[in-house]
Amino acid sequence: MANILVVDDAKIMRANIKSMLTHLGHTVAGEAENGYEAIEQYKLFKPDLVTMDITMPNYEGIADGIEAVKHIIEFDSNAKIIMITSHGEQDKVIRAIQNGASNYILKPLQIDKLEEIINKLSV
Amino acid sequence: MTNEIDFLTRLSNRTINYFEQELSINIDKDFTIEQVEIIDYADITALISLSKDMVGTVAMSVSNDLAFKIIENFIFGEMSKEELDELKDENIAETLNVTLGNILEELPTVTSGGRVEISIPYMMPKKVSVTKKEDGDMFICKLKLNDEIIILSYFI
Repeated sequence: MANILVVDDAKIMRANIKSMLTHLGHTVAGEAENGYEAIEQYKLFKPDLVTMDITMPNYEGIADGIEAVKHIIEFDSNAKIIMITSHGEQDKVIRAIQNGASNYILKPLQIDKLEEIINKLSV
Repeated sequence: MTNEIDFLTRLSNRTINYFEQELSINIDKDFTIEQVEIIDYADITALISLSKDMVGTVAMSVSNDLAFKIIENFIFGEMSKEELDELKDENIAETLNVTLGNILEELPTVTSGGRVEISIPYMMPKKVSVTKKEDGDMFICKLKLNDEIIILSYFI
C-alpha cells in the first residue's frame, strides 16, 4: 500500500480523493492546494505517489500542476505523479507527461480507475 | 448564434448525463435554450471564463437545497452536515468545471483546430441578476428536476 500526497485547489476534491485512497487501503501523506505547496510537501514527506490536479491558481511563482511536476521531478527523478484532469485539458496532460508525470485520470474521478492506475504504477 | 446554442445544448446534455451517471439524480431530458436580456441567478452560482478561440462566461446556478443534495450524492464516504454545508458551493464550481471540461474537445471550434481554455472557477457571492451587455449575447437553459432547476448560462 502506498503513502500518497493529494494535490488539488478544491477542498471537496481533496476530501473525495482522500476518502477513496483510504478506502483502497492507502495512507495520505499530506495534502496541498497549489503547486508550490505540493513541491514543499513532496520534499518534506517523500510520498510514494502524488495525485496532482492540473489547473490550480498560481502561487509563489508556480503556475499550475504542470509546473509543480517539473520541480518535483527535478528534486526526485523517480517521483510517481498521476495527473487529474478533464477531457478538455489533453494538451496540458501531454505537457505534464513531457515534464515527467507518470499517468493521468480523467474527471469525473472513479475509484476503480484510480485503483487501476495506482496498481499499474506498482507503488 | 448557432454556435452559442450548440455549445449550451452540449453542456446541458453533458450536465444531464453527469447528474444521472455520477450523482444518481435524474433531470428532465427536455430543455430549451433561450436568448435573454437578463438572468436572475439562484443562491449559488459558479462561473468559468472561456478564452483563446472561444470567449465568454459560462455559469451554473442552483438553490442552496439542491447544492446540498448534489454534494450529498457526490461525496465518497462519510462527511458531517457541517462539512457538506461548507463545501457545497465549491462542489458546484467543480461540477461545472468537470462538465465543461468534458465537452471542450467535441466543440466545433476545437475539432476544427482551434483552442479553448477555461479559467479556474469563481463564485458569485450571493443571489444576483446579470444584464446583457449592449454589444453582447446571453443564453440560458433551465434544467428541471422535481421542483428544482439548474440554471446553465453562457454570455459574451
